[in-house]
Amino acid sequence: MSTSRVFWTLVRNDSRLGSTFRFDKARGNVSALAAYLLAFGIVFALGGLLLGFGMHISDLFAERVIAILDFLITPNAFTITFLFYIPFAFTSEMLPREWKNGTVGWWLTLPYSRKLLLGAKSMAGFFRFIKFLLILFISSEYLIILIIYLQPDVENFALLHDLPQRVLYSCTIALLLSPFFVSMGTTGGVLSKAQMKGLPVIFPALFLAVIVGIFSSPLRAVFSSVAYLSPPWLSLLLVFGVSMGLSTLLFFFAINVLEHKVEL
Amino acid sequence: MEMEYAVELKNVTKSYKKKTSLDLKAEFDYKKEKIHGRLPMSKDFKKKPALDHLTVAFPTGQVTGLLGPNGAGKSTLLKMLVGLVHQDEGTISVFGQSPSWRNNGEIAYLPDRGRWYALQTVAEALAYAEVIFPAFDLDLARKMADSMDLDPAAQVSTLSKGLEARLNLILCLARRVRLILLDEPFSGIDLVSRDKITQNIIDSMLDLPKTIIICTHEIHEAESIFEHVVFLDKGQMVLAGNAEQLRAEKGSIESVYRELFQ
Repeated sequence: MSTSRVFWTLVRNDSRLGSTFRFDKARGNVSALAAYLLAFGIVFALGGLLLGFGMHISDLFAERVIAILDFLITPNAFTITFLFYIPFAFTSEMLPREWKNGTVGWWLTLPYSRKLLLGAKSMAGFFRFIKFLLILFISSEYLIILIIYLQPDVENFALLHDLPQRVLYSCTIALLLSPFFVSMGTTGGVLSKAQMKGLPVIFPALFLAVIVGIFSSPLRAVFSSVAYLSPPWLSLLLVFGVSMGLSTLLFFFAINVLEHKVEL
Repeated sequence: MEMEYAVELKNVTKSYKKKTSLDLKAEFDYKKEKIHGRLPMSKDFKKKPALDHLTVAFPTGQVTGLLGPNGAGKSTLLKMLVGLVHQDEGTISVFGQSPSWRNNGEIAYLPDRGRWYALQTVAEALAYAEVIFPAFDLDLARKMADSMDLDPAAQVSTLSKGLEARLNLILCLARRVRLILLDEPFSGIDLVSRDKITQNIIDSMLDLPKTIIICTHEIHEAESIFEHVVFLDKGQMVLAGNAEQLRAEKGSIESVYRELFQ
């Protein structure tokens, strides 16, 4: 069996492991995809109706919605930290889940390198993050289009015009830095199961230190609220390089810990 | 003729850093008694080794029963053979090599209290196993699933304990490997499932002879398939020998067990 087939099969299984949607195939014939689409449709239609109704009766409501949207989408310390935390949270729970589900005995005895096993978990976590970003992107675009269509008579209406651009910029930064936070999550998951004292405790502090370090370094220009107007391509490239370099180091550290310090 | 050994352990010692639930319970019970003034003397609760300078060998091509009371070190021994636990001292040889994930392509291991992926169906589990387990015989697995009354469309999360145990066993026995390690395959399983599991182990040996080590407390159910037995207690070997010979001397393996541990 080719290693790449094994890898992608593991990725597919790991992606399902992280799923909170428990569709019982034995009890129904509706496909999972149709159920997902239906759920999205209902949420979007209901959200649209509520928002449209709210804006129709109150300008204050419309103004608030635009202000919140503006705050959430524009790159700032809160949104960026949140976007960094998501890939970390997705991947850090993937490995402990094998213990929780009782499947770790099968997983750890697979005759493949720990690099392949952890790589599959990281990749599954990365795909989940991309899915999350896509949902975020589509939802915010939907809201923006809806508000523009409703044309509320409010002072901050002009803010909406470059919101799509800002969404795209925020998502790009999150995507460029995500390899590092994915590796950090994977390493955190491994450390939580390792026979090592101290390290699992200081790891969350390390996460915070990295965030603070990023915001106090020259790279902070990348996260400026007006950076989307003329994206600093060189800095963005540097951010991606640093993210990849650090993630590689962390990933190999995690492999070493899994191979030598994790026992069942 | 000199016997060949698939697995050999020489002077192996293993101590866990963390205390097991059994250790913690013993310590708690002791302290409770002491508070009531029934035990005036202090007792040392330092960690005892799970395996204590253990030297033992498992013959090639035979079904060996690995028997002993709780905390004897049976599960630790099996985990060591697949590299899930590393020894503190001593040497372990599995077909002449040290245990590592690199050799696990030749070993099928059924973990104690192990569960399969709940969101897969039985058919998906077998297809998944074909990809991730080297030398997995999908046709054989499907035949075994059929003979063990497993519905291919049933989701693993909906299977009863007995049915899930049958699936786990298929995932081990359908692999064309040299060594099979089964840790408590009969635990919490009804009589019918036990019989089916035993029959499948026998069929599997007839189909392709391999070395099988079964660690179990259900000696009565499994003793007919043992060709060799190893008794462990407190991490040390107390008896090992040919099962037929022991049966001839003591009547049954169960009698030997009672004699050793009662």
